[in-house]
Amino acid sequence: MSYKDSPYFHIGRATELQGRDRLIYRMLEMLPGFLSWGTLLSTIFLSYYFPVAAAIFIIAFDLYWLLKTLYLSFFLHRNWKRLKHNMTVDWRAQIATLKHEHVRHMVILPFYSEDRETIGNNILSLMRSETDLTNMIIVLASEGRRGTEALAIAKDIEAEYGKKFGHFLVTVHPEDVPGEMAGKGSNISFAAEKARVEILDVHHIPYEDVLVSAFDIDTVVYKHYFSCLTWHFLTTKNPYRASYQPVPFYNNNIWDAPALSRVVAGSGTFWQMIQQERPEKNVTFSSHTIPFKTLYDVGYWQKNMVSEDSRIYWNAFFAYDGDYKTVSLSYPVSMDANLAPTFFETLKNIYKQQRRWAWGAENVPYILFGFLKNKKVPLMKKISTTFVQLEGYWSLATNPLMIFMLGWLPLVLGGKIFNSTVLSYNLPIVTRNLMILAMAGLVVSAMVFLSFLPQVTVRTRKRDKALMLLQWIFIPVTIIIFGAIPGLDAQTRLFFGRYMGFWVTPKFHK
Amino acid sequence: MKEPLQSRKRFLISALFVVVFLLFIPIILLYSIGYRLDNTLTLTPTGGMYVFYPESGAKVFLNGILSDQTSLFERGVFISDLAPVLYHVEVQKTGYLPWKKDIDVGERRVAEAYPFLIPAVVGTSTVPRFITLNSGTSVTNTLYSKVVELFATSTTKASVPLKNIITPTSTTLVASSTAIVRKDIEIAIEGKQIVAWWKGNKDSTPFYFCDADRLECNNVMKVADGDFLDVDFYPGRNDVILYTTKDGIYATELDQRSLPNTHKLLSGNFEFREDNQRVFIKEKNFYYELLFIASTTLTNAISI
Repeated sequence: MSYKDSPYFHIGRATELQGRDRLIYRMLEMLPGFLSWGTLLSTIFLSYYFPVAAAIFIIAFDLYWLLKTLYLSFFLHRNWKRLKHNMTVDWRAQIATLKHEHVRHMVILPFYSEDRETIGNNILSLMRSETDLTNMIIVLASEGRRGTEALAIAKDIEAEYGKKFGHFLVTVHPEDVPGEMAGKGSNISFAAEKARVEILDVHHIPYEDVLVSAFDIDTVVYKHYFSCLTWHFLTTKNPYRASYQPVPFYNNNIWDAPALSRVVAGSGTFWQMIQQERPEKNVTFSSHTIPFKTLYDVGYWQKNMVSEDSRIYWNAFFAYDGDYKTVSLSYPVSMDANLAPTFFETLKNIYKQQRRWAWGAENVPYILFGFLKNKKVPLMKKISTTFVQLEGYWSLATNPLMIFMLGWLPLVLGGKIFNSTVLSYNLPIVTRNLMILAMAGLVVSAMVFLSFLPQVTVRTRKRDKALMLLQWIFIPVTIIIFGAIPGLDAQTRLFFGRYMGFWVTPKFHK
Repeated sequence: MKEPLQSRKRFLISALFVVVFLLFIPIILLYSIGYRLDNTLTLTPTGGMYVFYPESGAKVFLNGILSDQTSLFERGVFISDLAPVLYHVEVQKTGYLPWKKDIDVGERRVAEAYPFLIPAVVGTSTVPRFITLNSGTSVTNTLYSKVVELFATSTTKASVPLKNIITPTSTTLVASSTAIVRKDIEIAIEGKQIVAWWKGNKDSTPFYFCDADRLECNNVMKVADGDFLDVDFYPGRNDVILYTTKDGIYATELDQRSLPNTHKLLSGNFEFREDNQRVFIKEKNFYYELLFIASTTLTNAISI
């Protein structure tokens, strides 16, 4: 029996299992929080009882952090060059040399409470893209729980733009379907199935020819996006065993968003750029593309969990026994940075969004449990994937706290004997110096960020431009408040089995 | 089209960073712990010294050589890479009496020093009973009233009742002295001695209650011998005390490593009170405030 036919394939949480499986899955759910809290509490324990050992650990960790920063900056810089190059390539000319006319693009646009302008901007960007619109299938996926208002907007959009595309479908995801969690996953899965039945099957469009792009509703594509995507699909070896991942920029409203929001958004972009250079560590995130054949094969996105964007990768990974990858497009799509009517609301929304993303830790038990159950995944792949996943969530929740806060603990808790050692005096000095060196990575970040900013608007002032550069001094703050703490928050909830629901990031335009 | 680096190349880059880590971590750790290469390229343990002085412009001399200087941004100086031997430390600041101490620096340990620099010129200012307003009206000086009140009692506000004090060697209540408390340190005159007690957390015991390695600490120490009339803390410090004998008023430190720095502030036979970082003295029925004025030139200490 294939793993995708097993009862574990679409598992969302431990409570959906029984007996020993449930116990194992529950323990795996606790693992990310256990590792993170274990590290933080161990550092406190060591600082009190074995301050010398704690100081040595912290200095070693500082060096690890410095080298990690340099290592990641190398990949960031490399992807920056690749992305800039890809944005200058004439992708239409590239695919012209290939047989490409059969490839169709299905774009699923789920929305909940977003206004017409946001949805309209998305559609307009699709129309501006240099691709054959008759080959495009637009699926505007509304939520039934939003009532007739959402449907009215969708119908209005369809009336205005529907004829421009090959196919245009409006779907209404029914509310309160048993076994489903209200959220993007259940909506786009419903929409994809509707599109299959009402468009692909009716018009005899082969599933193999359709690439499905699941976009957040604020996604704005650059003009060559679909050509670039098509080229990668047509040139990738075994293209149905792959998802296709663009780089999310948050440029739609970047000049309006406050500095903290920009830094958090920019950091997210950088992380995705770095991951693009490490394909074996890259999984689908936010707006992404998957061949319909593959999507149908794995049963669409999971409907019973929050992080459907990354889970679809893991579904396919296990369905094909580890033979699945994410192809880095190194080509951007643009989305909204967090922005709310007030500064405080913006901060609150950033925190909630980061926590939702950090809730991706719910994939850890799914992956590790899958490794136990699916014996066909190669052992080395199991080991490396386990390490990458655990290290990733552990780093997110602990590293910033250890670097910027816990590094001083041995001095506070170490007692008088430790505090009279040369080591205790050198600890803050060595930490400070290594951190200053690590901050050099910020220069790379600032330059990369500036190079991708959209054109200056009329309202932009010189001060705003200067702030775009200076804002990176907030990094130590943002990686703690909008990185480590929401990461710990999410992992702690998972640890205690307080499962999170889907939270829709509110969109606001000035 | 440009592609991501091949996995083999990425592996090599990762391996390179691992090698750099393994190469540098022992060097950084040995450096942090206090090891240095000497002239013969032998790894040798060193120590350090931390001299805390919260004002800028204090020069720190080790064995007569200027080592460092406090600045606006650094309230103390950390002198590292010191051979583990005895150092003669002198701290000088223009207008203040120098502070001198012989301090032993241990291997991989940092010796601390908290110099107290007394202005070279200590004057007095009368606290008048009445002051004249701009209007020409004479009114009672509130400071005078406060000072009179200070001297009206035999103890200051910070004092604790005698019965609460337990001698270090027994639980006998001491009946002949008054203890003054500041930041977990108590001082009192015990017969012909000034004694200090550490009343705080054992783990926070100040170094002057401990041996050089801070492994053995007592909660009591003898500060000075003599015929003392009164004792209190020096303004703003809990490791420096003021005391009077029939000869005058003196300041000395609790740090007993080598000879304590002791300075005579004023000659005469009088009482004094320290209040809110100000020192008042009483001579017969007149009250004065001690004025610590920094002179513009370095003056030799009036050490006794």
